[in-house]
Parts: sequence; C-alpha cells; structure tokens
Amino acid sequence: MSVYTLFSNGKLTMGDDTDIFSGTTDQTLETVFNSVEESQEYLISLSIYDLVKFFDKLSHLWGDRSHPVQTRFGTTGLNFLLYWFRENNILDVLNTSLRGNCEVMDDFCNIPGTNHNVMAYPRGIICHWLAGNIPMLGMLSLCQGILTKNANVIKVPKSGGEVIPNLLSSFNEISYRNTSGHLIDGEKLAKSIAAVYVDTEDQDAHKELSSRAHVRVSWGGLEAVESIMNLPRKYGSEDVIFGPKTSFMVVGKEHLASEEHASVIAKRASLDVSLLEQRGCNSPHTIFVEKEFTVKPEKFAKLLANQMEETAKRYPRHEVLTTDTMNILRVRAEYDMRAEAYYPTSTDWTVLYSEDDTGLATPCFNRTVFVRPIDNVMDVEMLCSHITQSVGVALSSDRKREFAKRVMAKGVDRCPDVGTMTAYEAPWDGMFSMDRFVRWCKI
Amino acid sequence: MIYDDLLKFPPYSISEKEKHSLFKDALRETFDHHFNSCKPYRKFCEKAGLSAPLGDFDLTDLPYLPTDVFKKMRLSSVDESSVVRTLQSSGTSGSIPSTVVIDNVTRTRQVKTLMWLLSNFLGKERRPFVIIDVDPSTSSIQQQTITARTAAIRGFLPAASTASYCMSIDTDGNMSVDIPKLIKDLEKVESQGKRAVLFGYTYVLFSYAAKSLLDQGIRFSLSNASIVHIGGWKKLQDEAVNKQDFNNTLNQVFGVPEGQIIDAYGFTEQLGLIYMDCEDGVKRCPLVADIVIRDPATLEPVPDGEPGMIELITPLPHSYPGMAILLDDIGKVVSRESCKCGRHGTAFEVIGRATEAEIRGCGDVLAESLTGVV
Repeated sequence: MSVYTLFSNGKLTMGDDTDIFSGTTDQTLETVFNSVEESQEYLISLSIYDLVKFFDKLSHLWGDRSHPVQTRFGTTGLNFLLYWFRENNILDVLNTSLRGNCEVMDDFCNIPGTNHNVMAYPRGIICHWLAGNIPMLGMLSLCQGILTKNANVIKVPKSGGEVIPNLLSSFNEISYRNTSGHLIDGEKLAKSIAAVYVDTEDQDAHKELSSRAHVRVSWGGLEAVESIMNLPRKYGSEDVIFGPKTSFMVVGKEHLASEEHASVIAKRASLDVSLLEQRGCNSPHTIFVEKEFTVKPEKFAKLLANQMEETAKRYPRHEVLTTDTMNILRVRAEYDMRAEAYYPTSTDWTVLYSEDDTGLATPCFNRTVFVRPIDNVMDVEMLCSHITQSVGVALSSDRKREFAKRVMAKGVDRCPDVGTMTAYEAPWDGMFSMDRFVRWCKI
Repeated sequence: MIYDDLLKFPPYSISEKEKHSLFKDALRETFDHHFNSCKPYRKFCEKAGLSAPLGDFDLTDLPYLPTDVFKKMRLSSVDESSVVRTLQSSGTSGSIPSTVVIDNVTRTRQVKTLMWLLSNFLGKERRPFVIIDVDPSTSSIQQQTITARTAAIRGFLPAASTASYCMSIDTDGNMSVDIPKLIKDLEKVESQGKRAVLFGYTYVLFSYAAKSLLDQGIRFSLSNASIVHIGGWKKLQDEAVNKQDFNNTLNQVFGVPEGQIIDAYGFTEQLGLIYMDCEDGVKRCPLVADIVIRDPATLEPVPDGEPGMIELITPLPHSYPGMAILLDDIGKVVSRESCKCGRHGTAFEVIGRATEAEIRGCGDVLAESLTGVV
C-alpha cells in the first residue's frame, strides 16, 4: 500500500506542488484519519456563520488577481467557486438543504411550519473520491463537508490531483475575529482535512478509506463509482454518489421568432457547451430545436457557431489530446460529407447539424455539439432516464413547468435555463448533499 | 495512369525537388477522380474550398480524412460492381474496424507498390520467407471481406520463393506460435545458408517467438537473413520495451545484424505502402508518398523536427478517397536530405501512438447507455 499524503495537519506536504507523487509517504491512512478526527473538535466549535464567513473570505482571497491560486487555477473553473463561496450563495444553499434554517448546525431549531425541534450533527468523517474530469468539483463537496462540520479526507485523482491540496494550503491565510471576538483560524480549520493519493488498483488502501468513512462521496464514471460502492463499508455509513450522467438541451419555438432573439439563446447555449469542455455531467452534447418557426434549426446551428467562436475568445479551449483531435475530425468529416458542419480551422469548437439525425448524439466532448430538429420538445421525454442529469431549456415558463414534470418523471434532476446548465447548485443529482452529511436529531 | 509512371522509377531515386511535379500530377489525377466519383468526398472537398479539376496546390492544402472516418462510413469512388474485396482493419477488442473497398486498380497498385518497395530493401530476387503468422490460405481466397492482417501477409508473398508458417489457430480462433516448427524452419534455412526473411508482427515476433527461444537458450546464426516486422510498437511500449531492446534481443536470438532488422510501418487505409527503416534508422517516403505533420490543436503543419500527428499522402487508392489520411500516431520529419545509403525522400520518425489517458468522469456515459429515438 503506497499512500501519498499531499495535505495534512493544515499544511501542504508535497515536495513539488505540481506532482502528486512528491507527497510524503511516511504516514499511514490510520495516522491521517486519526489526525483529521482529532482536529474536528475545533471545526465543531465554530458557528455556521463563522464557516460561511470563512468561505466568503476565501472567495475574496482567491479572487485577487495576483494571488497564486488565481494565477495558477483561474482558467480551470476556479472562478465558479468564487461565486459559489460567496456568503449569500452559501447561505442560500445551506438554508435550502437544511430544512430552511442553517442554524440547525449550531442548536436545536424549529422546522418552519412544524412543531419539530431538530439539530443537525455532523456524521463524522467524509471520504471523497474525486474524478479527474473537473478537479474543482472536489472543492464543492469538500466545502459542504466542512459546512456540516465533518472531518474530510479526500482521495485525489491522478490527473489534476494537485489542485485540491494547493487550494487547501491557502486556508491558513484566513484568520479573523468574529463578532464575538473569537479567532477563526484557517490553519486550525484545515487540520480537519487531509488529501491523499492512492493507486486505483490498491484495493487495501481503498478498503481502509471506505471502512473509516461515515460518509462516502464518489464522483466519476460507472466503473469508478461502482468500485467504491462495492467496497466494505462502516455499518450505518451514508453514500453520496455522483455517477455518470449526461445532459442535453431543448430550444422552443418561443425563442425562435427572430434571429436576434435566437442569437441571445445561442450565446447562452455556447456557454453551456464551452465551459467545463463538456466534461461535466451537466454539459449538453445535443441541442434539440423545434422546427417550422422563423428561425429554422439549421439557422440556429449557424447562429450557435457564431457564438461558439465568440465564446472561444473569452474562454480559450484547454489543451487537447490527440485522441480528442481524432474524434473531432471524424465527426467533422462525417457531417461534412453527409450533413452540415461548422467549425474553425483549429479544433476549438464544432457545431454539427443534420436534418435526419434523431435521438441523443454520442458525446464527442471538446465543445462539439450536435443540433437536431424536433417537432415538439415534449417528445424528448422518451430520451430521458435516471442517467439524464440536466435538460437545459429555452421555453416559456408555462411550457417549462409542463416539460419539467414530464422529463423529471423519467429521471431527470434539473431543468435549468439555457446558459446556466454548468452551474452547480443544490439539489444536485436529486440530492441535497448537506442533508446527507448530517444526522438529524430531535428533542 | 500517372501513378503507374511513378512505379517505373526506383522508389527512393528521385530528390524532393524532382519528385515534386510528377507526384503532384499523380495526386491531381487521383483527386479529380475521387472528387468526381465519390459524392460524400466531393462535398467534403467543396467545404474545404477545393474542386476538380484541381489546379496548383500545396500538399498541406489537400483535405485529409482521419482514419476513424472509415470506421463510420463506407466510402467508395467506384461502382459497387467494381469492388472485388472489402478490407477491414484489425480493430482492438470492442472497437469498430475500418473498412475500405478495393477494386482491381487499387489491388494491382497495392501489390505492385509493395513489391516495388520490398525489392528495394530485400533485393529483386525472391527469398525464402519464414512467417510467424497463420497461413492466409486458411482464409478463403474467395472471401469478400478479409482483414488487413491477412491482406498484409498475402501482400508479402510475391516476394517469397517459399513460405512456411509458424502459427497455428485452434477451433476457437485462438492463435499460438508453433515454436518447434519455427525452430525447424530456421534450422533449415540456416543449414542451407539461404538469405531468408523472417516476417511477423512486431509484438508476436518479440514476445512469443524471440523471448521463448531466448528462454530456452536457443540461438541461430542467420547473418545473411533479414527480419521484417510490422504492426507497431504500442503493446511493446506498454511493456517498456523500446526499439533498441527489441533489436538487441532479435540480434541475440537470430543472429541477424541490426541493420537488417526492418521495422515496416503501414496501415489499412493505405495498404500496399509500407515505410521501412533506412540504414540511418528512419523511415523514408518513397516516390508515391509524402508526409505532413500536424499540430493536434491548431491542425496546422508544424516545422520539421517538431512532433505532431502524422498525415500521409499518396495517389495509390483508386476505389476509395484515401489519398490523404491523418493517423493518431505521433511523428516528426527528421530530414529532407538523402540518406548515406543514397535513398531520397522525406525522412520521418514514428514516435508512437498517443499515450494520454482519456480522463473519464461523471460526464462520461457510455454511448450504449443512451436510448431512445424521437
């Protein structure tokens, strides 16, 4: 069993902060778990408002253009975290997730509209297995783990695994006194968190991680999450699984009355396609556009292509792998030959349109989106299942409600407006994560 | 056709400058044929701003197809009645193979080109071949569809005075190297002092033949023989075996000098063309081919010496629009000067297949999980 400890006891423990294999190897998992468990007491002593303030300050710290976290990770999804960690957003998520009153984290409170007095207790230690597709996602589940006053151990992915430890190392830059004069010490708080790397094949290590966890959070593809779910676990532990899901988008006639208006939708759609490089489960790969209105689906595809080009200038594409290039070129050639393809000379983005293609396209990622005509957006109901995460909508509010009820009955979890598909919010994948991270206790 | 005129010259006899005009004429002829005969390809070219008759052009202007397109589409530039064979690549487990259609013109060019190239390296005289593979005659000659593997073996046979096979296949389709037969065949050519050719797939030759003989302490002295291997280095790369290790082992076991161990690079979509190691250890483009190296992100040609995705260009294919193919192998142009052995042609190196691991995550839903048709 080789355990690389990357962040522990409030400090970065990597020799080279870009290389996860430079993490120290002299700690056992038992030592790591004991350390975070012992440090949890300080975390529990803080009020929920102290923690909200902490993250708000962290957001401002990372938002400083000259801060190393911003200069290093500013183009890799960090700026979404800055928004998420702001006080008003976190309070919104907390209140939504915790029965309408975040103060249940500190004391017994009445659930609004009932006679019940409850308090939310942390479950203990949350172990997070992160995926490599979007390293920043790990901070979201970690943040919620901290807000619910749990100790946290993060098993980082091989690719992008250095991100979380480096973010954690800036926690010790936050130190302030709350309104009661108590010192809120970021380094002490960070001692309740550890980040490690163990090899995917190291079953002994994974079993140990699993057996110590009161909550197991797993992000990833099917093989990854199933491997975690099948590990031996602590009796009574909770699983929060963010497994493989796919998303798509629908554009209704009400937004196709003019080119001008359709361009606005196309611009928003381009953001959903471009951010996260379509690697998120909430990223759309297919856009269904209602037929027979002023702006035809093929025209919408062209408008989208224009907007993809503009969006690529604002949000340049990340590094492309050779395998990605081949996939992109394959679909481009195929559509050039039998349908329509719009793209620049580079591999930055691709919009593909076919009159005849139906159903969900096989994802190509890397800002490759398939536009398909449809008679009525309600017909996509048949395409939805429990593995459909989000369907982005450009519909009137009445149609949106009707549409949402239909697709959600089939398993869809979210119907965000086009342009907001990539926003991570609560609930997620049908769950309020923080609700799962606590024990509800009643007097 | 102009292509046949190119074969009248020795493969590496003409410098880049001299080659320019004749090669481009052949490409022009081929392009016009495919443009006029293959509707999807025509649309593809028109999108790229090209049409027939093709005027003056730069090689880098030619629209190229990624190999994967042939996994999705059956592209043909001839009537179906002219198709004499369908060739399929050896797809990896679970993957879809490439399919290309072959007419008599293409087939003839493939055979002639391969012999033209082989004779330049192995000599004009036919030589006894010891082949570490299955006898291709076990696949019916009449079969409409054959694998590229079978086609490759068959393609080399005209260069053979005799051919013996050292691989058996059981009723379940499992193949295994027949070591005793291999030993017997090699002992025979060794005792006869003939300039044999040992031929096989790179991985099989090393891992199943050479290593087995090495472990058994069996050695040969085939100093006047040649080894020709094809199929690429991916599997050996995964086992951390590099070209030098490979050559050293084969030299140790078979006694064939390193300069006579020839790595032949080729692929289904331009079958008939193989790029073999010159004495200076690099591959050269013969008169009927040329290479462009492209940046994976920008798709622009990169300067000589820089790595990128390999695109190979040839007027060889007649029945399908395979004249410019982009591969997922990484390579680089090493030189445009002639070799010390006198061979001309752009020299390039195949660095290997991309080894980047695909990042999978929660957004990666298997295609087969998606259901439903609206």
